[in-house]
Amino acid sequence: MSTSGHASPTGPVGASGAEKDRQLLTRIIAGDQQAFSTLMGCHQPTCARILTRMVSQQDVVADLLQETFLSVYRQLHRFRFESSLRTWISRVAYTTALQYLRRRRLEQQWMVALEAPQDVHAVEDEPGPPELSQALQTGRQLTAALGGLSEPQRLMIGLHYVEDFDIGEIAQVTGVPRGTVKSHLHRARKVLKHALTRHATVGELL
Amino acid sequence: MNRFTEPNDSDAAALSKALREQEQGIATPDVRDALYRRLRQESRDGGVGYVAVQALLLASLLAAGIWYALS
Repeated sequence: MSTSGHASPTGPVGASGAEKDRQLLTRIIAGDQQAFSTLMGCHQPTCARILTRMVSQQDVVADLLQETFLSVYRQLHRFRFESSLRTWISRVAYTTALQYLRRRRLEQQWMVALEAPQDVHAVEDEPGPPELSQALQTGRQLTAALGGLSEPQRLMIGLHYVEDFDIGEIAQVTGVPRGTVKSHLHRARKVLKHALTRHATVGELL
Repeated sequence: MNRFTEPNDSDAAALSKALREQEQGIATPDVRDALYRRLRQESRDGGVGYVAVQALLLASLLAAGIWYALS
């Protein structure tokens, strides 16, 4: 799978892609194990990244990934193509992680952070140059900067910039309104830009 | 395809590139084999023969228990 999130036989959009997904699903429902293996090969990396961003424990991710695809396998016949296949599978991964958080009594914490897209740390107004793109090239502080985001913000940044989900798809995966997704992304970019440009400035001074 | 929402495309592209580079270093688990084993096991456990054997074993156990209690 490529890292762009286009690894589905369909890719995220497109009529021919949807048709390929439909054919793949028909084969799986008919009992074609190879077809299910193809589906898993395509969507496993995206689901693993969603689970990792939500759970942050690598030892748990493999179990939740298995749970995700078990649910996908069991519910596949109910899929009606109201969204793209990858959006639906990602939603299954999301709800699987949410169920895990519920068992660990961490769901409430997640939901509060999800529904109130506030900055984890107060940030100043958008800093001037250097731009985010420049800051990203100059430093290796992305991991630290990501640490300044709330968990839902990290998830949404990943869905948007790594998996190439648009606002509507992120809203479908997470079940929050589009406006909330936009807010999260806006604030997350602001926090990242602030953290990265600060690092870049400090680096320049040194 | 450009699906980013912010006005500054170069920032979006740079962020996307940096995040993907970061993700490349993280191994993705492959759970296909484990899942197939589980599905096979569930399919076996849900089979008529398996359920019949389990019911027979349970009935035998109950019968043995009753016989032991009465004797």
